[in-house]
Amino acid sequence: MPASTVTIRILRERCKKCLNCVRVCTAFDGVFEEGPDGYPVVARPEECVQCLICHTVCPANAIVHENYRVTMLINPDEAIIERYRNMV
Amino acid sequence: MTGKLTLAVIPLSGCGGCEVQVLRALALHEDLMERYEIVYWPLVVEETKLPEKVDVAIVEGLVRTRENLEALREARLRSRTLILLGSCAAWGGIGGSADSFNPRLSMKAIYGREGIEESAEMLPRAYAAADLVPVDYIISRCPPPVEHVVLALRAIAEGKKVPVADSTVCSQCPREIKPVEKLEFKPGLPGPNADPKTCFLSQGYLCLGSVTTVGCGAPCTRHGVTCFGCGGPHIEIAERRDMDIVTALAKKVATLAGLDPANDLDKVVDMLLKVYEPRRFYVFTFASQVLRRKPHGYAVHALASTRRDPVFVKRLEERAHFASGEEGL
Ligand code: SF4
Ligand code: SF4
Ligand code: SF4
Ligand code: SF4
Ligand code: SF4
Repeated sequence: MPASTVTIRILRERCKKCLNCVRVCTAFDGVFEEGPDGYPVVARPEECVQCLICHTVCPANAIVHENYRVTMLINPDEAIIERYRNMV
Repeated sequence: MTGKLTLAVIPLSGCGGCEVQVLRALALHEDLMERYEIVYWPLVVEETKLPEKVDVAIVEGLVRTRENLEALREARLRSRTLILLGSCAAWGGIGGSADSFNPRLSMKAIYGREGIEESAEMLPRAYAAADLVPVDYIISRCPPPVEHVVLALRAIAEGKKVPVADSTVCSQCPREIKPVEKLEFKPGLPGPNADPKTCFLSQGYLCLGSVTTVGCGAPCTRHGVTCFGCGGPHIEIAERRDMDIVTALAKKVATLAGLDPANDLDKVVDMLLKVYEPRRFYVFTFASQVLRRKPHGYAVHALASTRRDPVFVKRLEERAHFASGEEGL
Protein backbone atom coordinates (compact mmCIF):
# COMPACT_ATOMS: atom_id res chain seq x y z
CA MET A 1 0.00 0.00 0.00
CA PRO A 2 1.44 3.39 -0.90
CA ALA A 3 1.44 4.60 2.66
CA SER A 4 3.51 7.63 1.78
CA THR A 5 0.61 9.14 -0.13
CA VAL A 6 -1.75 8.80 2.85
CA THR A 7 -1.89 11.64 5.32
CA ILE A 8 -3.68 11.13 8.60
CA ARG A 9 -5.05 14.18 10.37
CA ILE A 10 -6.85 14.65 13.64
CA LEU A 11 -9.41 17.44 13.57
CA ARG A 12 -8.73 18.98 16.96
CA GLU A 13 -11.82 21.14 17.06
CA ARG A 14 -13.84 17.91 17.02
CA CYS A 15 -11.60 15.55 18.99
CA LYS A 16 -12.85 14.55 22.44
CA LYS A 17 -9.47 13.24 23.64
CA CYS A 18 -11.11 9.89 24.42
CA LEU A 19 -8.13 8.03 22.89
CA ASN A 20 -10.34 5.37 21.34
CA CYS A 21 -8.11 5.73 18.27
CA VAL A 22 -4.98 4.91 20.28
CA ARG A 23 -6.71 1.89 21.84
CA VAL A 24 -8.11 0.45 18.65
CA CYS A 25 -5.44 0.87 15.99
CA THR A 26 -4.84 -2.37 14.10
CA ALA A 27 -1.30 -1.59 12.96
CA PHE A 28 1.44 -3.57 14.74
CA ASP A 29 3.05 -0.64 16.51
CA GLY A 30 -0.01 1.55 16.53
CA VAL A 31 -0.33 4.67 14.42
CA PHE A 32 -1.50 6.97 17.21
CA GLU A 33 0.01 7.96 20.51
CA GLU A 34 -1.25 10.13 23.30
CA GLY A 35 0.37 13.55 22.97
CA PRO A 36 1.52 15.74 25.88
CA ASP A 37 -1.69 17.81 25.77
CA GLY A 38 -3.95 14.75 25.83
CA TYR A 39 -4.79 14.87 22.14
CA PRO A 40 -3.76 11.90 20.04
CA VAL A 41 -0.81 12.46 17.69
CA VAL A 42 -0.18 10.63 14.45
CA ALA A 43 3.15 9.12 15.43
CA ARG A 44 3.64 6.39 12.82
CA PRO A 45 1.48 7.06 9.76
CA GLU A 46 3.56 4.65 7.67
CA GLU A 47 2.26 1.77 9.80
CA CYS A 48 -1.35 2.39 8.83
CA VAL A 49 -3.03 -0.54 7.09
CA GLN A 50 -6.04 1.60 6.24
CA CYS A 51 -8.54 -0.58 8.00
CA LEU A 52 -10.43 2.53 9.08
CA ILE A 53 -11.65 0.96 12.31
CA CYS A 54 -10.40 4.11 14.06
CA HIS A 55 -13.09 6.05 12.16
CA THR A 56 -15.75 3.66 13.33
CA VAL A 57 -14.89 4.00 17.00
CA CYS A 58 -14.20 7.74 17.05
CA PRO A 59 -17.21 9.37 18.70
CA ALA A 60 -16.71 12.67 16.89
CA ASN A 61 -15.66 11.63 13.36
CA ALA A 62 -12.45 13.55 13.98
CA ILE A 63 -9.97 11.43 12.00
CA VAL A 64 -9.23 12.13 8.35
CA HIS A 65 -7.27 9.80 6.10
CA GLU A 66 -6.42 12.02 3.17
CA ASN A 67 -5.82 10.49 -0.25
CA TYR A 68 -7.47 7.30 0.79
CA ARG A 69 -11.23 7.14 0.96
CA VAL A 70 -12.95 10.05 -0.65
CA THR A 71 -16.21 9.07 1.06
CA MET A 72 -14.94 10.80 4.15
CA LEU A 73 -14.40 14.06 2.36
CA ILE A 74 -17.37 14.37 0.05
CA ASN A 75 -20.38 16.43 0.92
CA PRO A 76 -22.52 13.87 2.73
CA ASP A 77 -25.85 15.45 1.86
CA GLU A 78 -25.04 15.26 -1.82
CA ALA A 79 -24.31 11.59 -1.40
CA ILE A 80 -27.59 10.84 0.25
CA ILE A 81 -29.47 12.83 -2.36
CA GLU A 82 -27.75 10.83 -5.07
CA ARG A 83 -28.82 7.65 -3.36
CA TYR A 84 -32.42 8.78 -3.21
CA ARG A 85 -32.29 9.76 -6.86
CA ASN A 86 -31.16 6.29 -7.74
CA MET A 87 -33.89 4.73 -5.65
CA VAL A 88 -36.87 6.18 -7.46
CA MET B 1 -42.62 39.18 -8.01
CA THR B 2 -39.52 40.72 -9.48
CA GLY B 3 -36.45 38.71 -8.74
CA LYS B 4 -37.96 36.94 -5.76
CA LEU B 5 -37.99 33.18 -5.46
CA THR B 6 -41.35 31.63 -4.77
CA LEU B 7 -41.58 29.62 -1.56
CA ALA B 8 -44.19 27.07 -0.52
CA VAL B 9 -44.40 25.33 2.84
CA ILE B 10 -46.33 22.09 2.83
CA PRO B 11 -47.24 20.46 6.14
CA LEU B 12 -47.86 16.71 6.20
CA SER B 13 -48.40 14.83 9.47
CA GLY B 14 -46.11 16.89 11.67
CA CYS B 15 -46.55 18.87 14.85
CA GLY B 16 -46.05 22.31 13.33
CA GLY B 17 -42.79 22.85 15.20
CA CYS B 18 -40.75 22.85 12.02
CA GLU B 19 -43.13 25.36 10.42
CA VAL B 20 -42.57 27.63 13.40
CA GLN B 21 -38.83 27.42 12.73
CA VAL B 22 -39.37 28.59 9.13
CA LEU B 23 -41.57 31.36 10.45
CA ARG B 24 -38.88 32.41 12.89
CA ALA B 25 -36.19 32.21 10.22
CA LEU B 26 -38.17 34.58 7.99
CA ALA B 27 -39.16 36.89 10.82
CA LEU B 28 -35.65 37.22 12.20
CA HIS B 29 -33.83 37.63 8.90
CA GLU B 30 -35.02 40.44 6.69
CA ASP B 31 -32.82 39.45 3.81
CA LEU B 32 -34.83 36.25 3.46
CA MET B 33 -38.09 38.17 3.22
CA GLU B 34 -36.49 40.21 0.46
CA ARG B 35 -35.47 37.11 -1.43
CA TYR B 36 -38.52 34.90 -1.02
CA GLU B 37 -42.17 35.37 -1.72
CA ILE B 38 -44.51 33.02 0.10
CA VAL B 39 -46.98 31.68 -2.44
CA TYR B 40 -48.47 28.80 -0.47
CA TRP B 41 -48.42 28.01 3.24
CA PRO B 42 -51.69 27.10 4.93
CA LEU B 43 -50.44 28.47 8.26
CA VAL B 44 -49.55 31.89 6.89
CA VAL B 45 -51.25 32.83 3.61
CA GLU B 46 -54.80 32.40 2.36
CA GLU B 47 -53.94 30.70 -0.93
CA THR B 48 -55.52 27.24 -0.83
CA LYS B 49 -53.80 25.63 -3.81
CA LEU B 50 -50.16 24.86 -4.37
CA PRO B 51 -49.15 26.72 -7.59
CA GLU B 52 -48.11 24.70 -10.66
CA LYS B 53 -44.49 25.78 -10.25
CA VAL B 54 -42.59 26.95 -7.19
CA ASP B 55 -38.89 27.60 -6.78
CA VAL B 56 -38.50 26.19 -3.30
CA ALA B 57 -40.84 23.87 -1.45
CA ILE B 58 -40.37 22.98 2.20
CA VAL B 59 -42.12 19.87 3.48
CA GLU B 60 -42.72 19.17 7.16
CA GLY B 61 -43.91 15.96 8.74
CA LEU B 62 -44.20 12.29 7.92
CA VAL B 63 -46.54 10.50 5.55
CA ARG B 64 -49.41 8.92 7.45
CA THR B 65 -52.45 9.39 5.21
CA ARG B 66 -53.15 9.14 1.49
CA GLU B 67 -53.63 12.90 1.48
CA ASN B 68 -50.08 13.32 2.85
CA LEU B 69 -48.73 11.10 0.10
CA GLU B 70 -50.48 13.09 -2.61
CA ALA B 71 -49.34 16.39 -1.13
CA LEU B 72 -45.74 15.14 -1.03
CA ARG B 73 -45.84 13.95 -4.65
CA GLU B 74 -47.33 17.24 -5.73
CA ALA B 75 -44.62 19.13 -3.83
CA ARG B 76 -41.94 17.15 -5.62
CA LEU B 77 -43.44 17.52 -9.08
CA ARG B 78 -44.05 21.24 -8.79
CA SER B 79 -40.90 22.44 -7.06
CA ARG B 80 -37.46 23.15 -8.41
CA THR B 81 -35.81 22.60 -5.05
CA LEU B 82 -37.44 20.37 -2.44
CA ILE B 83 -36.34 20.65 1.17
CA LEU B 84 -37.46 18.12 3.73
CA LEU B 85 -37.53 19.78 7.11
CA GLY B 86 -37.28 17.98 10.42
CA SER B 87 -36.77 14.45 11.62
CA CYS B 88 -40.36 13.51 10.76
CA ALA B 89 -39.78 14.21 7.08
CA ALA B 90 -36.26 12.78 7.12
CA TRP B 91 -36.64 9.68 9.30
CA GLY B 92 -40.28 9.48 10.38
CA GLY B 93 -39.48 11.30 13.62
CA ILE B 94 -41.54 11.03 16.78
CA GLY B 95 -44.65 10.52 14.69
CA GLY B 96 -43.07 7.37 13.30
CA SER B 97 -43.82 5.72 16.64
CA ALA B 98 -47.36 5.42 15.28
CA ASP B 99 -46.04 2.25 13.67
CA SER B 100 -45.99 0.70 17.13
CA PHE B 101 -49.62 -0.20 16.52
CA ASN B 102 -51.76 -1.40 13.72
CA PRO B 103 -53.63 1.75 12.52
CA ARG B 104 -57.02 0.02 12.69
CA LEU B 105 -56.41 -0.90 16.32
CA SER B 106 -55.28 2.66 17.06
CA MET B 107 -58.53 3.96 15.54
CA LYS B 108 -60.46 1.49 17.64
CA ALA B 109 -58.65 2.50 20.79
CA ILE B 110 -59.35 6.18 20.18
CA TYR B 111 -62.72 6.28 18.42
CA GLY B 112 -64.15 2.87 19.26
CA ARG B 113 -64.39 2.05 15.56
CA GLU B 114 -61.87 0.72 13.05
CA GLY B 115 -62.57 3.46 10.59
CA ILE B 116 -64.55 6.66 10.23
CA GLU B 117 -65.82 7.50 6.74
CA GLU B 118 -65.25 11.23 6.99
CA SER B 119 -61.71 10.91 8.37
CA ALA B 120 -58.55 10.86 6.25
CA GLU B 121 -57.57 7.54 4.72
CA MET B 122 -54.82 6.04 6.88
CA LEU B 123 -51.99 4.24 5.12
CA PRO B 124 -51.12 0.84 6.58
CA ARG B 125 -47.85 2.18 7.96
CA ALA B 126 -46.08 5.48 8.56
CA TYR B 127 -43.40 6.62 6.10
CA ALA B 128 -40.55 9.07 6.29
CA ALA B 129 -41.11 11.49 3.41
CA ALA B 130 -37.46 11.03 2.42
CA ASP B 131 -38.12 7.36 1.67
CA LEU B 132 -40.80 8.15 -0.91
CA VAL B 133 -39.59 10.88 -3.28
CA PRO B 134 -36.22 12.15 -4.49
CA VAL B 135 -35.26 15.22 -2.50
CA ASP B 136 -32.70 18.00 -2.83
CA TYR B 137 -32.02 18.81 0.81
CA ILE B 138 -32.77 17.24 4.13
CA ILE B 139 -32.55 19.44 7.21
CA SER B 140 -32.91 16.96 10.02
CA ARG B 141 -33.53 17.39 13.79
CA CYS B 142 -36.64 17.88 15.87
CA PRO B 143 -37.05 20.73 15.24
CA PRO B 144 -34.07 21.88 13.17
CA PRO B 145 -32.38 25.01 14.59
CA VAL B 146 -33.45 28.25 12.91
CA GLU B 147 -29.86 28.83 11.77
CA HIS B 148 -29.97 25.72 9.60
CA VAL B 149 -33.11 26.91 7.86
CA VAL B 150 -31.57 30.35 7.32
CA LEU B 151 -28.34 28.87 5.98
CA ALA B 152 -30.18 26.66 3.51
CA LEU B 153 -32.59 29.33 2.25
CA ARG B 154 -29.78 31.86 1.89
CA ALA B 155 -27.51 29.47 0.02
CA ILE B 156 -30.29 28.44 -2.35
CA ALA B 157 -31.16 32.09 -3.05
CA GLU B 158 -27.51 32.76 -3.86
CA GLY B 159 -27.24 29.67 -6.04
CA LYS B 160 -24.64 28.18 -3.73
CA LYS B 161 -24.25 24.78 -2.19
CA VAL B 162 -25.53 24.43 1.34
CA PRO B 163 -22.53 23.84 3.61
CA VAL B 164 -22.71 20.52 5.42
CA ALA B 165 -20.92 19.28 8.53
CA ASP B 166 -20.14 15.61 9.03
CA SER B 167 -19.40 15.29 12.72
CA THR B 168 -21.49 14.11 15.65
CA VAL B 169 -23.15 15.73 18.68
CA CYS B 170 -20.14 14.68 20.81
CA SER B 171 -17.94 17.20 19.00
CA GLN B 172 -20.11 20.02 20.44
CA CYS B 173 -20.66 18.44 23.84
CA PRO B 174 -18.53 19.84 26.67
CA ARG B 175 -18.52 16.59 28.67
CA GLU B 176 -15.22 14.80 29.00
CA ILE B 177 -15.08 11.23 27.73
CA LYS B 178 -13.23 8.93 30.13
CA PRO B 179 -12.38 5.28 29.61
CA VAL B 180 -14.97 2.85 30.95
CA GLU B 181 -13.51 0.70 33.72
CA LYS B 182 -16.24 -1.85 34.01
CA LEU B 183 -18.79 -2.10 31.26
CA GLU B 184 -22.34 -1.92 32.57
CA PHE B 185 -25.37 0.07 31.54
CA LYS B 186 -27.73 1.79 33.90
CA PRO B 187 -31.39 1.73 32.95
CA GLY B 188 -33.38 4.95 32.90
CA LEU B 189 -32.07 8.49 32.81
CA PRO B 190 -29.23 10.10 34.77
CA GLY B 191 -30.45 11.56 38.04
CA PRO B 192 -29.06 14.44 40.09
CA ASN B 193 -26.15 12.28 41.23
CA ALA B 194 -24.66 11.97 37.76
CA ASP B 195 -21.37 13.80 37.29
CA PRO B 196 -22.12 17.01 35.30
CA LYS B 197 -18.68 17.16 33.65
CA THR B 198 -18.20 13.58 32.52
CA CYS B 199 -19.62 11.95 29.40
CA PHE B 200 -22.78 9.93 30.04
CA LEU B 201 -21.36 6.89 28.27
CA SER B 202 -18.38 6.93 30.62
CA GLN B 203 -20.87 6.88 33.51
CA GLY B 204 -22.85 3.97 32.11
CA TYR B 205 -25.88 5.90 30.82
CA LEU B 206 -27.17 5.54 27.32
CA CYS B 207 -26.37 8.65 25.26
CA LEU B 208 -26.84 8.69 21.48
CA GLY B 209 -24.59 11.72 20.91
CA SER B 210 -21.80 9.78 19.22
CA VAL B 211 -24.14 8.30 16.61
CA THR B 212 -26.21 11.44 16.02
CA THR B 213 -25.50 14.08 13.44
CA VAL B 214 -23.91 17.36 14.59
CA GLY B 215 -25.63 20.75 14.54
CA CYS B 216 -27.67 21.37 17.68
CA GLY B 217 -24.80 22.41 19.97
CA ALA B 218 -25.63 19.55 22.37
CA PRO B 219 -28.17 21.45 24.50
CA CYS B 220 -29.46 18.26 26.13
CA THR B 221 -26.16 16.94 27.47
CA ARG B 222 -25.27 20.45 28.65
CA HIS B 223 -28.42 20.39 30.76
CA GLY B 224 -28.00 16.95 32.23
CA VAL B 225 -30.13 14.96 29.81
CA THR B 226 -28.69 12.32 27.51
CA CYS B 227 -28.97 12.77 23.77
CA PHE B 228 -31.99 10.92 22.38
CA GLY B 229 -30.83 11.31 18.80
CA CYS B 230 -33.40 13.84 17.61
CA GLY B 231 -31.00 14.91 14.86
CA GLY B 232 -31.13 11.51 13.21
CA PRO B 233 -28.23 9.15 12.62
CA HIS B 234 -24.80 10.38 11.66
CA ILE B 235 -24.33 10.46 7.91
CA GLU B 236 -22.02 7.43 7.75
CA ILE B 237 -24.50 5.34 9.67
CA ALA B 238 -27.25 6.40 7.32
CA GLU B 239 -25.21 5.72 4.22
CA ARG B 240 -23.34 2.53 4.96
CA ARG B 241 -25.15 -0.78 4.81
CA ASP B 242 -22.83 -2.32 7.38
CA MET B 243 -23.59 0.33 9.97
CA ASP B 244 -26.54 0.86 12.25
CA ILE B 245 -27.29 2.97 15.31
CA VAL B 246 -26.97 0.13 17.83
CA THR B 247 -23.87 -1.48 16.33
CA ALA B 248 -22.06 1.81 15.77
CA LEU B 249 -22.69 2.83 19.36
CA ALA B 250 -21.67 -0.59 20.67
CA LYS B 251 -18.34 -0.39 18.81
CA LYS B 252 -17.52 2.98 20.34
CA VAL B 253 -18.49 1.92 23.84
CA ALA B 254 -16.61 -1.38 23.52
CA THR B 255 -13.42 0.49 22.62
CA LEU B 256 -13.89 2.90 25.51
CA ALA B 257 -14.08 -0.12 27.79
CA GLY B 258 -10.89 -1.59 26.35
CA LEU B 259 -12.73 -4.35 24.49
CA ASP B 260 -12.30 -5.25 20.85
CA PRO B 261 -14.89 -3.47 18.67
CA ALA B 262 -15.03 -6.41 16.27
CA ASN B 263 -14.74 -9.52 18.46
CA ASP B 264 -16.70 -8.20 21.41
CA LEU B 265 -19.37 -6.45 19.35
CA ASP B 266 -22.10 -9.04 19.88
CA LYS B 267 -21.49 -9.08 23.59
CA VAL B 268 -21.91 -5.32 23.91
CA VAL B 269 -24.95 -5.25 21.62
CA ASP B 270 -26.56 -7.96 23.77
CA MET B 271 -25.86 -5.94 26.89
CA LEU B 272 -27.39 -2.81 25.38
CA LEU B 273 -30.51 -4.61 24.18
CA LYS B 274 -30.96 -6.33 27.50
CA VAL B 275 -30.98 -3.08 29.46
CA TYR B 276 -32.84 -0.86 26.99
CA GLU B 277 -35.89 -1.50 24.85
CA PRO B 278 -34.71 -1.65 21.22
CA ARG B 279 -37.08 1.22 20.35
CA ARG B 280 -35.04 3.52 22.60
CA PHE B 281 -32.39 3.66 19.86
CA TYR B 282 -34.91 4.57 17.16
CA VAL B 283 -37.10 7.16 18.89
CA PHE B 284 -36.77 9.51 15.91
CA THR B 285 -36.16 6.93 13.19
CA PHE B 286 -38.76 4.28 13.95
CA ALA B 287 -40.48 4.58 10.56
CA SER B 288 -37.32 5.03 8.46
CA GLN B 289 -36.89 2.57 5.66
CA VAL B 290 -33.19 3.43 5.52
CA LEU B 291 -32.73 1.91 8.98
CA ARG B 292 -35.25 -0.90 8.57
CA ARG B 293 -33.24 -2.15 5.59
CA LYS B 294 -29.94 -2.44 7.45
CA PRO B 295 -28.74 -6.05 7.34
CA HIS B 296 -27.07 -5.70 10.74
CA GLY B 297 -29.56 -3.27 12.20
CA TYR B 298 -32.17 -3.53 14.92
CA ALA B 299 -34.92 -1.23 13.63
CA VAL B 300 -37.15 -4.10 12.51
CA HIS B 301 -36.38 -5.85 15.76
CA ALA B 302 -37.52 -2.69 17.59
CA LEU B 303 -40.72 -2.60 15.54
CA ALA B 304 -41.56 -6.24 16.22
CA SER B 305 -40.77 -6.14 19.92
CA THR B 306 -42.78 -2.92 20.36
CA ARG B 307 -45.82 -4.36 18.61
CA ARG B 308 -45.63 -7.41 20.83
CA ASP B 309 -44.93 -5.54 24.04
CA PRO B 310 -47.50 -7.01 26.46
CA VAL B 311 -47.87 -3.71 28.34
CA PHE B 312 -48.65 -1.85 25.11
CA VAL B 313 -51.00 -4.53 23.83
CA LYS B 314 -52.89 -4.64 27.11
CA ARG B 315 -53.26 -0.86 27.25
CA LEU B 316 -54.46 -0.76 23.67
CA GLU B 317 -57.07 -3.43 24.37
CA GLU B 318 -58.26 -1.66 27.50
CA ARG B 319 -58.48 1.59 25.62
CA ALA B 320 -60.42 -0.01 22.77
CA HIS B 321 -62.80 -1.57 25.27
CA PHE B 322 -63.30 1.75 27.02
CA ALA B 323 -63.75 3.64 23.74
CA SER B 324 -66.37 1.24 22.43
CA GLY B 325 -68.16 1.32 25.78
CA GLU B 326 -68.27 5.08 25.64
CA GLU B 327 -69.76 4.87 22.17
CA GLY B 328 -72.81 3.07 23.55
CA LEU B 329 -73.53 5.72 26.16
S1 SF4 C 1 -11.08 8.56 18.82
FE1 SF4 C 1 -11.57 10.53 17.88
S2 SF4 C 1 -12.24 11.82 19.56
FE2 SF4 C 1 -11.20 10.07 20.48
S3 SF4 C 1 -9.10 10.79 20.76
FE3 SF4 C 1 -9.18 9.75 18.77
S4 SF4 C 1 -9.59 11.39 17.29
FE4 SF4 C 1 -10.06 12.19 19.31
S1 SF4 D 1 -6.97 3.00 9.61
FE1 SF4 D 1 -6.52 1.25 10.97
S2 SF4 D 1 -4.29 1.07 10.90
FE2 SF4 D 1 -4.79 3.11 10.10
S3 SF4 D 1 -4.72 4.49 11.83
FE3 SF4 D 1 -6.83 3.78 11.71
S4 SF4 D 1 -6.96 1.98 13.02
FE4 SF4 D 1 -4.79 2.38 12.66
S1 SF4 E 1 -39.53 17.05 13.29
FE1 SF4 E 1 -40.22 17.52 15.36
S2 SF4 E 1 -40.75 19.69 15.28
FE2 SF4 E 1 -40.70 18.95 13.17
S3 SF4 E 1 -42.79 18.31 12.70
FE3 SF4 E 1 -41.70 16.51 13.44
S4 SF4 E 1 -42.17 16.42 15.61
FE4 SF4 E 1 -42.64 18.50 14.93
S1 SF4 F 1 -21.75 10.48 24.31
FE1 SF4 F 1 -23.19 12.06 25.00
S2 SF4 F 1 -22.37 12.85 26.91
FE2 SF4 F 1 -20.73 11.71 25.89
S3 SF4 F 1 -19.60 13.27 24.79
FE3 SF4 F 1 -21.09 12.40 23.38
S4 SF4 F 1 -22.88 13.72 23.53
FE4 SF4 F 1 -21.57 14.17 25.30
S1 SF4 G 1 -28.36 16.68 22.05
FE1 SF4 G 1 -29.37 15.02 20.88
S2 SF4 G 1 -31.51 15.05 21.53
FE2 SF4 G 1 -30.57 17.01 22.18
S3 SF4 G 1 -31.01 18.46 20.50
FE3 SF4 G 1 -29.01 17.54 20.08
S4 SF4 G 1 -29.46 15.75 18.76
FE4 SF4 G 1 -31.38 16.38 19.73
